[in-house]
Amino acid sequence: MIKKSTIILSCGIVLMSFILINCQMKNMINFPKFNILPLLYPIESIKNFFSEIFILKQENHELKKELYQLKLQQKSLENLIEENTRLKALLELKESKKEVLTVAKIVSKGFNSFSKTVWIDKGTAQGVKINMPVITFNGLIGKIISTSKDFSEVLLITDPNFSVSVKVERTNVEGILSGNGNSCVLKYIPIDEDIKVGDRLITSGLDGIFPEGIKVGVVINIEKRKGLFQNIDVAPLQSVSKIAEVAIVKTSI
Amino acid sequence: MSFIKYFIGGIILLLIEKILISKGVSCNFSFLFIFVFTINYFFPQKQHKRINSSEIIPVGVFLFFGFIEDLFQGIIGPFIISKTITGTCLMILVHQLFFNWNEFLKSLVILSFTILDNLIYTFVVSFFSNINFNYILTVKSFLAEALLNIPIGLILTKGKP
Repeated sequence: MIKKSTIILSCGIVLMSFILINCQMKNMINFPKFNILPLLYPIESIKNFFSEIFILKQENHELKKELYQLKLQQKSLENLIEENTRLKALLELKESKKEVLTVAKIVSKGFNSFSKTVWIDKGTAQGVKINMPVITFNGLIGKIISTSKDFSEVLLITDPNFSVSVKVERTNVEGILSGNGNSCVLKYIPIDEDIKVGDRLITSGLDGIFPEGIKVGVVINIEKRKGLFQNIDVAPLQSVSKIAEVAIVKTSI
Repeated sequence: MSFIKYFIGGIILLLIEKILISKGVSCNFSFLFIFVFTINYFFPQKQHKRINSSEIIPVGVFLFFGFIEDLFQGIIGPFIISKTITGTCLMILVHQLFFNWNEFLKSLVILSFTILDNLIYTFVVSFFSNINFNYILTVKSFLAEALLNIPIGLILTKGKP
């Protein structure tokens, strides 16, 4: 039989751990998170270097093409922005400022199997801060949840702990979008509100984290059951498994 | 028994686990470390059980390994609890079932204890924080991790006890 002292020792360790976790949750003690990414990054970098050489030439060609197209559009957009600013000033509306802080590469997926996160190669040294929105050309993909000097962790839009205040582009109905592990769900939309499959969602800016107007996702399924709210499934506009580069947005809401 | 060998092996195993998790593969190699250590500690040679062995050393190893794993997560405690409870239960089983070990029983032990380890960790994390779990995905990953551990655990403890 196992000794009594071993059982007492194990119980003591478990009890002490419970107390320790409790203290950490109340911020009485804080332990630094050991980041293994700097250990793994050199291996990943070598691997990425060779694969990147092949795609750079093609990407360069496509980017040049895109640049010409954007140059053509730029002038007309500048006029529109000027006109918009002038009209907003007339109406005394304040606009939230959106500015890309930096562009970052995704270096790894998260190391915790319970959460949907990715690591990017920009950190506090580049001005990245917790809660900053992270986007791609297609739309929102998440927010910064932890930072170190050269790396940051991004909580993805599909994580069950992620939520963002959104509105339906067509009707301006507001709700909360959360992740469910694989895709997203739109919550707190009253049962009588007009929502259709294919409706596009954008951030509403009401949560104080994400600026207004970032594309988020498309409604793919609606269920109207008994109760106050509809069950709405949303597909993110940016598939989280196919991201290589992201932009971190500096906000001043 | 060389503890340095286990220390280095444990750290390498943890790094492999973190790399695989980052590549989207569900795995719990840290329990495998506990399993292999316990079997090798109590049965240093084939069919040869260590008599009057210290039980403090294995508990210390479980505590230390749980602590190292917790350092990666940023909260010290959940892995210490799961590894200590699972390891102690495994020690009890090793003491009780000396004559009945076979490959089928070992597979069952690995399967059930990997799930137990994950369950304890998940319970502790969800008890102390507001983390939401997708329960279907969580159960699926528990099973996948346990099934993945069976062949590896059998190979690593081949011929023992």
